[in-house]
Amino acid sequence: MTTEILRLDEVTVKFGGLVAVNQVSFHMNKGEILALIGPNGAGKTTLFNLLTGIYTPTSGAVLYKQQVVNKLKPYKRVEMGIARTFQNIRLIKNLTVLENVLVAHQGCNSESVWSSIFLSKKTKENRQAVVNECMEVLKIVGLESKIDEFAGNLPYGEQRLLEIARAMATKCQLLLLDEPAAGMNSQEKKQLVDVIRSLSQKYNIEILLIEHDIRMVMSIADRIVVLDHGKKITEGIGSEVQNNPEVIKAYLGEDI
Amino acid sequence: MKRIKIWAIPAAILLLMLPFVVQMFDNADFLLRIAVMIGIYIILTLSLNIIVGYAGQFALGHAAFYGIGAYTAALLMVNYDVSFWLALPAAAIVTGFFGFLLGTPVMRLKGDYLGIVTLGFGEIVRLIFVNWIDLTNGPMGIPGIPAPSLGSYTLGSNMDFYYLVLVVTVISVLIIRRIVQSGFGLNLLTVREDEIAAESIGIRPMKYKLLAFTIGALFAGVAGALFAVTAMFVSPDSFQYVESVNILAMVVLGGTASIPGSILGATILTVAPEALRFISDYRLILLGLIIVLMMVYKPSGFWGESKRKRNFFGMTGR
Ligand SMILES: Nc1ncnc2c1ncn2[C@@H]1O[C@H](COP(=O)(O)OP(=O)(O)O)[C@@H](O)[C@H]1O
Ligand SMILES: [Mg+2]
Repeated sequence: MTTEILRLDEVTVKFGGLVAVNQVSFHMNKGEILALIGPNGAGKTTLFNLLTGIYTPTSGAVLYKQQVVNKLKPYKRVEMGIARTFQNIRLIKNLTVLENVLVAHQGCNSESVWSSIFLSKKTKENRQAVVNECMEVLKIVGLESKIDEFAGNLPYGEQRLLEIARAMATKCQLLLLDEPAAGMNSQEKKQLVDVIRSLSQKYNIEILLIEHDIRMVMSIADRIVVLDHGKKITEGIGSEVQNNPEVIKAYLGEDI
Repeated sequence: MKRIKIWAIPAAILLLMLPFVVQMFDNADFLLRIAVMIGIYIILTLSLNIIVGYAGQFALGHAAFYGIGAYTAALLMVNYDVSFWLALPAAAIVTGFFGFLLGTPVMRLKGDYLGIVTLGFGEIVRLIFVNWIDLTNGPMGIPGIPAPSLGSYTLGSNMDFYYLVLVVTVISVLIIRRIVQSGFGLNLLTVREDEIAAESIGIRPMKYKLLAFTIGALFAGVAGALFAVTAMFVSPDSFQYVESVNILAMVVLGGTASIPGSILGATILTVAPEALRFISDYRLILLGLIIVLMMVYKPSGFWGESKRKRNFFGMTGR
């Protein structure tokens, strides 16, 4: 029995002449927290866009649950259990916190127009169940007391947490977090680490994490993959990666 | 669970008594006629608001759907003796079907392109009303649309029309409210704000835009059927491009993605031109001015979504 959930096989993404992702291969195991690090412009976000179906690979293959998903539409991948957050937050600012999460829940999409119109007792029960499930993830990220606020009015750090809650509401198996700690202070970062840990444990999901804060990466990631100029330069557990000369070179001048 | 708002009862009494109050004036029929048009425009404005306000699709050809509904009902009733009670849903379904057909290619377009194509569609439909003389009787229109009957009673007076429109409008408002205060409504707003975010949580933007367009067209068809039967006459003149602008101005004035806003916008812009007859020559200029000024200074309208009831899903998390 294989425990492999995601595999990238020599994946390349080109934008015209620019090779944003260059022959990258790696895999993720069940329940794993994998960190993807690398300097700005290394191709990390492009890789996320590839995994969520915004881009298709120029060459190579993406396998999710042993199935090639190269050409699958974004919504299909959500159905298969892949969800993400965005580096530049993409919440719906004029919807409330709760609404932002509700709209990601399958039960919110699957209600037919007829059942909305007739609004039977059954439909109301379904809605309440959806709300309750969404409240559960909101509790985990610590936003349960802010459900009626507009998402756009939340401070930055809480918006990032809300994006995580929204992604979780899709009932994903593979959660992709694009720089979730960006712009957070150390207190918020600590809370974020706790949230990521408890999501990983409670739901037994896989988490692929892009993060620049190397200390945070070391503390939660099971393994680390390092990208530079679109290429994977190494992968391994924390200390191996940290002392790798190529990694140090890639980050030269940056804080590691 | 069931709570009726305090203002609902006096409002209902007022609406029910209105025709009798109006009898005290010597232009009672004229006033009732305006009331009828307010009801029809409320349905039109709400239906366009689903497309423009909730789904965020800038469509400019709503008069075409209004016209298709009116002609469908008129032709069925005049040529085939179909009862109004069947012609009304038939007009809704036929118009909804046209919305679906048009929406399939058109909903892929964005912004200005969508506006221009829907504008063109509106003109084409009007030209068909004018030129397909065998079917539509051309510019002369279709006169003699029979009054609906209820058992042995014929709904023929302006007062009858008032109550007919009141009932259909109230039912339409309630249905549309249920439709938008749902997961579907949340999906539309999400698609409107950010299609990439929508896709990232499993929403297919095209599906929801198309559904919004179809439902919007369907209710415009209902309004069209009401217009045909209360005016007892339809002609291409009623479905010109300026009518689309008029309905859009009602949406923008009242407020996008807001039901009370649409009711307000439709009422103001139906009454104002009647009260201010002397400016009728400048109507188009004024409508344009309203749209531009609102978009610049108050883009969410006088009763926009900032005043909406929080949590469209209608449930509480506490
Ligand atoms: N849609 C695009 N079109 C053209 N170039 C792009 C596009 N998206 C990303 N790039 C380029 O690809 C490279 C990798 O970008 P990105 O994946 O955002 O890096 P990272 O997230 O690691 O900072 C950059 O040079 C960026 O300018
Ligand atoms: Mg990035």
